[in-house]
Amino acid sequence: MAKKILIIAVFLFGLYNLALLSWMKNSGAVYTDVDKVERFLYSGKRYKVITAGSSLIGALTLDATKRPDFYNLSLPPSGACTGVRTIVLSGKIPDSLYLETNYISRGLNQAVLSELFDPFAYNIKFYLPALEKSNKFIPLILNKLKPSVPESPNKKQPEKKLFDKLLAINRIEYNAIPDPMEYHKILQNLGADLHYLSNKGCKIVFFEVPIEREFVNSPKLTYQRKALKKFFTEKEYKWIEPDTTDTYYTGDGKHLLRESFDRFNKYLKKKSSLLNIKRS
Amino acid sequence: MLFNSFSFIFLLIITFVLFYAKFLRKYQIPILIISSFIFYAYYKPILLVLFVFSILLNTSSSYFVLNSENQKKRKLIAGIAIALNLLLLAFFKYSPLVATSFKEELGLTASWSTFFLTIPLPIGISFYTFEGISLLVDVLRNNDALKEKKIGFTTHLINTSFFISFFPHLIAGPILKAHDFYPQMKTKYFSDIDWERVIKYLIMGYFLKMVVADNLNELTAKITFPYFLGYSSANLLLLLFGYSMQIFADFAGYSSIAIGLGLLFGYDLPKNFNFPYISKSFAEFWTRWHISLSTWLKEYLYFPLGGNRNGKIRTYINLFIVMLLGGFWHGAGWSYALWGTGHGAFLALERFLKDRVKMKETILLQTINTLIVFLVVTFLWLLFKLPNFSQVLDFLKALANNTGMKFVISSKEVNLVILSSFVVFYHIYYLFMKSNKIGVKINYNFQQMVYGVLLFLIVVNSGNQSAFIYFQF
Repeated sequence: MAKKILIIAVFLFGLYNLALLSWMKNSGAVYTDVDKVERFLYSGKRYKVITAGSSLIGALTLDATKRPDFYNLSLPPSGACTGVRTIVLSGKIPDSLYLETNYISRGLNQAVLSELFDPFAYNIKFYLPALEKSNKFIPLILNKLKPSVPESPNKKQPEKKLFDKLLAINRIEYNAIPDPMEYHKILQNLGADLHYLSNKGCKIVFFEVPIEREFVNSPKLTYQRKALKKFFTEKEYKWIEPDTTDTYYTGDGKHLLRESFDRFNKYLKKKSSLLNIKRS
Repeated sequence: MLFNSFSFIFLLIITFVLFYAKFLRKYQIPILIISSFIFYAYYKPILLVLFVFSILLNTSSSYFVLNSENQKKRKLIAGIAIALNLLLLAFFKYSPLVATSFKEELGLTASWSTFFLTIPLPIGISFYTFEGISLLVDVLRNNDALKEKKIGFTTHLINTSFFISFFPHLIAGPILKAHDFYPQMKTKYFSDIDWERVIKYLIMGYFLKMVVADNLNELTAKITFPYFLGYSSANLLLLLFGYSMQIFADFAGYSSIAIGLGLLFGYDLPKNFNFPYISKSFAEFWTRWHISLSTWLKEYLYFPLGGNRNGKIRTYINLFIVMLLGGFWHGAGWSYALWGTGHGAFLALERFLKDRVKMKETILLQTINTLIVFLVVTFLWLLFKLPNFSQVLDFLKALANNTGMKFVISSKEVNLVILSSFVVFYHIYYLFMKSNKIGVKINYNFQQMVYGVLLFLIVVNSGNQSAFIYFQF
């Protein structure tokens, strides 16, 4: 019985790999940070423009939506540092990297990185794509039957009761200052990665995503801005200043609503065009 | 260590090779003990201190009880040892709860309060404490299976260490009973391995855990306060249904892997799940869900309390007490107590109704009963999922109030339904088997194919590795 079970499983596995290498390439659904990074690692493409950040930039396009050489490494729970380390470890260095600063404080997600860059698993997935989490069988079939639309920001705020509760949770977060020692360590790690990328010719651009007006000058963001500017000077890196002229609206205190997000996208696009970054 | 980690697979292969090596046959039990200690202490070696203390406590006291002829002394020693076991469990598991709930009554200062709140919970303590108590009660009751009076202390120490630490059951059960396990301790041979059973248990276990539970874990993460307030009633019901399937797949998966691993080394561990979601009554549910815990509670708590021998009222009270303590066993939180109380109340109510209302057992009635039991059990799982009771109430309110919201069906919802349906089919298949609707030959071929597909899905559709839900207990 064991032999037959094994034969059936190996046969199906082989067949699925063949399908993934041919007509089902890049058809999987992206649910998690691991899925998103795998898509980036195993696509066989080199990206010229990359954005790295948290869920706040989930729908960010800059001006590059239709370009196949743009990739948005928005990793909701992991944040920007994990995205940057991914780029370093993969060797897929872009011409320019746009870095969201809001959740740099999350540091590196070691669990995600060790899962992705385990030497054996990392290499074997180039030959056996069925082992990629982003090619999970059931989500892939569902995606094939009805391709999922990329998630976009909410159109309107949730009902007041829920909005107030979400705001209250975020108020606690934004009123607390990050542990200075811990934050400094995170910046040191990020600094090393960015220094490596700069040396390879990648232009780094920092930007902050606007959030609910109440939190714009909160202790957390004020502390972060100051520490970041001190560590990553304007001499060495490019910065797009936060848009202080406009009012932005969120669904929970930090995630922009669709109209606000579109406005911010345009703002970022305009500002980045003024930075004089050479795009090949 | 997790059963689904590479480090475990590595440890398993080495242990297996050494265990069946001819020249090491004499040391089979010590090999498994060493391996189990590595398994237990891999991430936190400090855990071994309490674990070894518990083993020594139970070995020495049970050795005394086993060899003494003085009934009074035997009872006294066994009683003290059981109390110490429970004290250790209470200290490590319930101190934080007591410190938060009765801070003022106990007059705790801030530093004492912090001390109690930061006491770490040693993994598996609820399981190995109950196994130690089982050993003590069994030797006190002069259970025939444990009459090994001629053996020396060292052999008894080795046997007890093995009984408590054997890695397949160590962290999340099944909870072993001494009288079932000790008679199995003898030399094992490679040729005696029942490979078919081993493979079936392992494939089913890993499938339920890695494919069903781990994926559902990601998909039901929306049951988090306050985010669930923004979903429609239909979406909330679907999420709750998914969680009910997840908790079954997670725990039944773990138990199945444990049984498969036990068989790999020639040990038959007790069945822990028997298709619980087809239960037609709460009493039946508890003969099918976490069987090793419910039988433990029955043998070592319900019967000593008097069981159903002291009248109806006393029976209801006993059921209630057993389930309340069973709830507390799961976790140091009032939610768990409430969960146990809920089950106790339904068991008592069911018994009360059974004594008074006689109805003909039609298929329709059985189906309705099954649905009622499933719904109540599923709603009670909310107390496991949400950390405090006010959030459970908020969830129920949202369920009642969000009926006007749109039922969102994205690929995630469809995925949740597909993954949950594996658990549903698993139960339905059992019902067909039970009613002999599937021929033996067809069944055999069908099974081979199904297990082949399940193995394929383990490789290509596993979720992100997550700890077993029952580890926290």
